[in-house]
Amino acid sequence: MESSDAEVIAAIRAGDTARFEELIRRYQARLFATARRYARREAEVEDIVQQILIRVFQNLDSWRGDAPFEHWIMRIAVRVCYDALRAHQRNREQPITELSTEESDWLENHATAPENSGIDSDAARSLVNRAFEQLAPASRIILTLLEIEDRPVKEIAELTGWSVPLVKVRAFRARAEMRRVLSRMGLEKYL
Amino acid sequence: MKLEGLRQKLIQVGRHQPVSDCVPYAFEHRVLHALRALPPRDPALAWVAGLWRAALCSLAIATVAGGIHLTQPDDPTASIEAVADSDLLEVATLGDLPEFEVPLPDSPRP
Repeated sequence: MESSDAEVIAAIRAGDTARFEELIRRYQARLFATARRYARREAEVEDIVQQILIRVFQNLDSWRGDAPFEHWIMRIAVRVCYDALRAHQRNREQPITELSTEESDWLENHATAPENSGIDSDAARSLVNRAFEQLAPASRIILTLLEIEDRPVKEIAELTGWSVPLVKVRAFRARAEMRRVLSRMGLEKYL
Repeated sequence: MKLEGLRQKLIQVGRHQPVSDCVPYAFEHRVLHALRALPPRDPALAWVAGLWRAALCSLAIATVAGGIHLTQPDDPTASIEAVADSDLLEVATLGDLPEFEVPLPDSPRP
């Protein structure tokens, strides 16, 4: 029978650090899915997940066991992703490039018949990714958690460490920022 | 309004975008190797860091408290009360000394 998270953590705390591998195997798929929401290049995704797991190992003593371990590890994951986005923003300025023919076609199609514009097309996905890459880290985190992953505000507050009113304010600002980004990308002319 | 419609459509696209949860082969070994390569954490350093944080917090609280104290206007009634209190204290102290004792009318003379 598989040991519970608490049992594995107790063993690691007692000195059997090799059992951390069990925790990695249990949570790595979820962590990769989370990191891929915020990073495109695979090398960057691997670095983020490694950073999360190192931070989990270093802070294992602070897990008190009053909340599920999964919640605790996801809190660390979101914070590491946020830090990675901020570092990424400091290091590089993302230039706005011209739209591809497919993206322009999708936008024209959306302008004429919004209900018929497909949500499964590569062009639409590319537009979403481009818009999200232009957002400030806090806006990107909040829109991903709130609107893409459809998480409740209270849960987002717990994941990010921000208060509930701050999450609401940042969500409001993030929506406005995304509209500004779409306008800057020159998408208004298609509407 | 049209931009908001497009924004919502793009969010809808994002919701339907599948996110891969694939894990590279032997990724756990890479993490364990990285953990072994980390320098061991010195508990003394953690203590020092904690003490520094506490000192900075105390300094911040002292600065705020000092600022509040300096910016508060003086209350004239409070100072009058303080003077009156100290005068009363002086009278009470002098009354305890033998040379300031006031003889009561009914008390027998020594």
